[in-house]
Amino acid sequence: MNVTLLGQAALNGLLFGGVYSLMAVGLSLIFGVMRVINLAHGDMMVWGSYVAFFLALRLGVDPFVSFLLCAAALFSLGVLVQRGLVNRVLEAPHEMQILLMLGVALVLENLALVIFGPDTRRTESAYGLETVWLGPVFVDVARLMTFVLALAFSLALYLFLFRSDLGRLIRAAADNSYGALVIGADVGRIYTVAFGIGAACVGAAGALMSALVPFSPAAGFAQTVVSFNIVIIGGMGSLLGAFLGGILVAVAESLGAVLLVPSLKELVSFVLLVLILLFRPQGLFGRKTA
Amino acid sequence: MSALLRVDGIEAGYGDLTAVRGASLEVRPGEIAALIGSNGAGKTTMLRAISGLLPIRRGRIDFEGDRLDGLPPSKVVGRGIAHVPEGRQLFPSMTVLENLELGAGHAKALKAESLEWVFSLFPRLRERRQQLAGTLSGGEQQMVAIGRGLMARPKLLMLDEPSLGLAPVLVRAIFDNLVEINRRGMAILLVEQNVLRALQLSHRGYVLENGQIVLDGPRDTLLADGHIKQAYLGR
Ligand SMILES: Nc1ncnc2c1ncn2[C@@H]1O[C@H](COP(=O)(O)OP(=O)(O)OP(=O)(O)O)[C@@H](O)[C@H]1O
Ligand SMILES: [Mg+2]
Repeated sequence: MNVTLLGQAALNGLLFGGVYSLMAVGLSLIFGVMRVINLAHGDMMVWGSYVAFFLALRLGVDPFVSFLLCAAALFSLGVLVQRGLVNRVLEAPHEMQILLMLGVALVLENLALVIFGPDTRRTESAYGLETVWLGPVFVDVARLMTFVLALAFSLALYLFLFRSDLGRLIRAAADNSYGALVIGADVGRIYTVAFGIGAACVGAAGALMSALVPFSPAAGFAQTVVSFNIVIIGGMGSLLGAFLGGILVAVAESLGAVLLVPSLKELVSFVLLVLILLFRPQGLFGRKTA
Repeated sequence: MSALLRVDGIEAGYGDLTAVRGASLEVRPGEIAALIGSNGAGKTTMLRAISGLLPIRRGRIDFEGDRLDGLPPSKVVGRGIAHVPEGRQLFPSMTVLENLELGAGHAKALKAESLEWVFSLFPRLRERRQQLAGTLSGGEQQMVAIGRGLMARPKLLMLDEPSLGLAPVLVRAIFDNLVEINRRGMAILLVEQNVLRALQLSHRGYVLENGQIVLDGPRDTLLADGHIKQAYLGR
């Protein structure tokens, strides 16, 4: 075990963390605004990956460009799911919401299976195999691109939420939905847009990740679990927590793969999760609630 | 004089419970009207019904001569009614400034001017404008709630127990502010349990008991009324 190897692993994890952050931010936004747990999150991600895959295969669009189209496509899907389904169960008991979202997850996964088949795919990118040496460690250019683009996407979301009128309304509704009604906000529209944006985040993450990691219709559930872990580690309802949590978990997994056995990397994020639940149940950046 | 707001025999409630049964009231342009009554009388329910936050089951509500009931809260605010709700209902993790600006919804064009006005009414808020609303004292939070309502530049401002939980000196300050706001021509519907003070600054008042208006009239008539003296003023 040497320092260079660890440094390399940490760097790889950091660069991979951008997509983790983006998908967790999407989940956290949806939860924060509607208190609905999007159990179809990972499956939405896989759909983002497929859109990127086919745009690359048929039209030759690089995933590092098409991720914006994937975000737009998933935004539409999110809007449909919210308007058609989630909207109807917002007042319903949690178990109803969970069943519904599990149903959406199953439908999305099996629809992908029917349409795209069970094969594992990976999106072609012009940057796929390029590397740059940085002293003793090398930088995988594709990873670097995903990191930069995921960061840019998150920054754009931040600016939207904190600088635009609609963004402020979304934050207001997340903070106090009754208060938002009182000031005359169209809370139904806010919910729809927020769900759409949450789905767009994970769609973009799916597109970016599809150039790094192979995916198949069955990959969605694992991604939902990872997103979930990150959001709890970062703190429920905190977008900054989700963002930093994504990077933390990615680095931890990457180090874990080197220090332990690669197949045990998921274990690392679960250990992190358990530690957080034991010692800081509100998460790293969550507010303490009664 | 024709009424700005006319509530005519409305019924509203929650599930099987009817909290307001056949209540009527009106607010005239430029006046302060008080709606008083004890706990659970249905005062909050009345305001929520007017705001469109709760559907009415019977009766009708008109504002400036046009039908108001059946409209969603967003449309009611747009028509010129701002609601300063019970419990303030601020956005605790947003700044004072953000809370105020969010109130401007339908009156964005006047935002800068309204903000200046709110800050001149509540100078404390100018100092605290970058502070998170959730970290303010109760009195300051009430100022933000009123300020947020004013930002909508309403024709009618409805306040639900703005004095609740405040020290007497703060209550006096808030009530002075209401008189000041009213001088600018804004009509006010004030729900209060602080009956004496509320009636003193109002032009007219209504007494709600068990979801029904049992008494109404000009301030002096109500202040002299035997039932009110005995039930609400304790003398
Ligand atoms: N959300 C609700 N669900 C069920 N019942 C409610 C709800 N809100 C109020 N009620 C009931 O409706 C009745 C009227 O309540 P309301 O809040 O309008 O009274 P109020 O006059 O504002 O009282 P207070 O002075 O205590 O605020 C009460 O019996 C109350 O228990
Ligand atoms: Mg009340």
